[in-house]
Amino acid sequence: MAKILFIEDELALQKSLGELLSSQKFEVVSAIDGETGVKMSLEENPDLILLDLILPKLHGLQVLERIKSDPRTNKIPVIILTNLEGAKDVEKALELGATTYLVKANYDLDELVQRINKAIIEG
Amino acid sequence: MKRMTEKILKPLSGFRYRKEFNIPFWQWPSFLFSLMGVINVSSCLFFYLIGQRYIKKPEIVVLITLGIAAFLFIISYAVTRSLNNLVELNKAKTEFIKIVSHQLRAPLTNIRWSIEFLISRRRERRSKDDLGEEEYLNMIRENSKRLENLLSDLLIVNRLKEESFFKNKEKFNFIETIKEAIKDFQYFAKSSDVELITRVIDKPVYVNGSRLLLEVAFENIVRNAIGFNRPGGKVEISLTYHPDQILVAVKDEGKGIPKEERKYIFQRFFRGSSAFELQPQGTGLSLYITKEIITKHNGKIWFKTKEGLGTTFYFTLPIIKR
Repeated sequence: MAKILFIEDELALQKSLGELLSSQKFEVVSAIDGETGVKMSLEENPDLILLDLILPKLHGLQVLERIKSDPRTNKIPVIILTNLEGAKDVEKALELGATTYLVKANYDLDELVQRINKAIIEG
Repeated sequence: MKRMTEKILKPLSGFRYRKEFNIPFWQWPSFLFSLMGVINVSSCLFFYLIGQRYIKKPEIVVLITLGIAAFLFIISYAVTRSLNNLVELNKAKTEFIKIVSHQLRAPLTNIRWSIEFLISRRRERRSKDDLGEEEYLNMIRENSKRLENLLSDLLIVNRLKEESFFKNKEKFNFIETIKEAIKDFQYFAKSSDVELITRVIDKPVYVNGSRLLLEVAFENIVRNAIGFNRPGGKVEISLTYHPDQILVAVKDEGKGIPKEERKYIFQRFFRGSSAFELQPQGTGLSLYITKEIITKHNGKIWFKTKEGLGTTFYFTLPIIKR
């Protein structure tokens, strides 16, 4: 069973997407702020990380930078899941090593699950 | 004293207007201020020469000239200050829309995803009573999606006025981008009972522009072509290569655009008569956004339509010769 770390401070999103992913046979662990996210990426050894950008304690891009610069976590695919869609954010995230950048408002939950499946298969 | 000087000189510095607000040179307050200065000096000279000829006492000439100069100086300073205030207000408005749109989108996505989750759970254990409730849940989902679309479009419209929005230009293979976008549309076309036919040239064609924005422009046209099509109809997307430009054509088999609506098609918030029936979630902004993006990339956009037969949207983009 693939393990997903969901770093998201919106509890409603954490619950809806988290439960849907769990019902699709994924194991979901969640972090509510950036610092906890970095810590859990080391402890939980997930197969994929879903990362929001506007997070308490540590901005999502900083979280991504830390994950990608640590040899213990730099191979984990990271999907950015945010409502920020500025070209600068997209560029910066992809430059730092994000697998893909998804704007929440543009996706249905079903489409998101498809994207997550694809990212896990492609590793 | 230093603070006082800074306070006076700040509104007069020109380049920040170019950089921050994308205002043409002739509208820079500093330019207008300099122009007023030239008018000031010329009018002083004019009065001096007139005064020399017709007024005998030189002190009176000097006093009149000084008085006029001071008067014009005060007026010109007041004009440039008020221009500066207007520019600052405009910037504040743009920022306000940006922040409000972002802040409103987050809770809306929360609502929509929660509803989607409830719908998917209900499908698993469907009963007769649930069907009626699902209809309402679907209605809430559709409306929150509509609000999200409107906010997304408002954000883009707001940014279209910022020059920096178009600064992130890069040289990229336009064909590859279009092919990726078409791939994403297959599911939407299939679920809308529309056949997607593509005639895309195989060799790479490079364009200098914002990949993200050009993708938005192309997707808006294709989404409309699918959404406004007849059930079982076709959408043909063709890309042809010309010596200096690439021509994109998207043809649908919808109702066509009525004659009286054609001139309004690219206007902000315009929604044609069939839009209310076929695309109730539309914002009336997508073609306006598309035109702005294409023209800001030195391209052209137009359409040909026949009522009852369909519409073809065309756009061109200048290409980079390798």
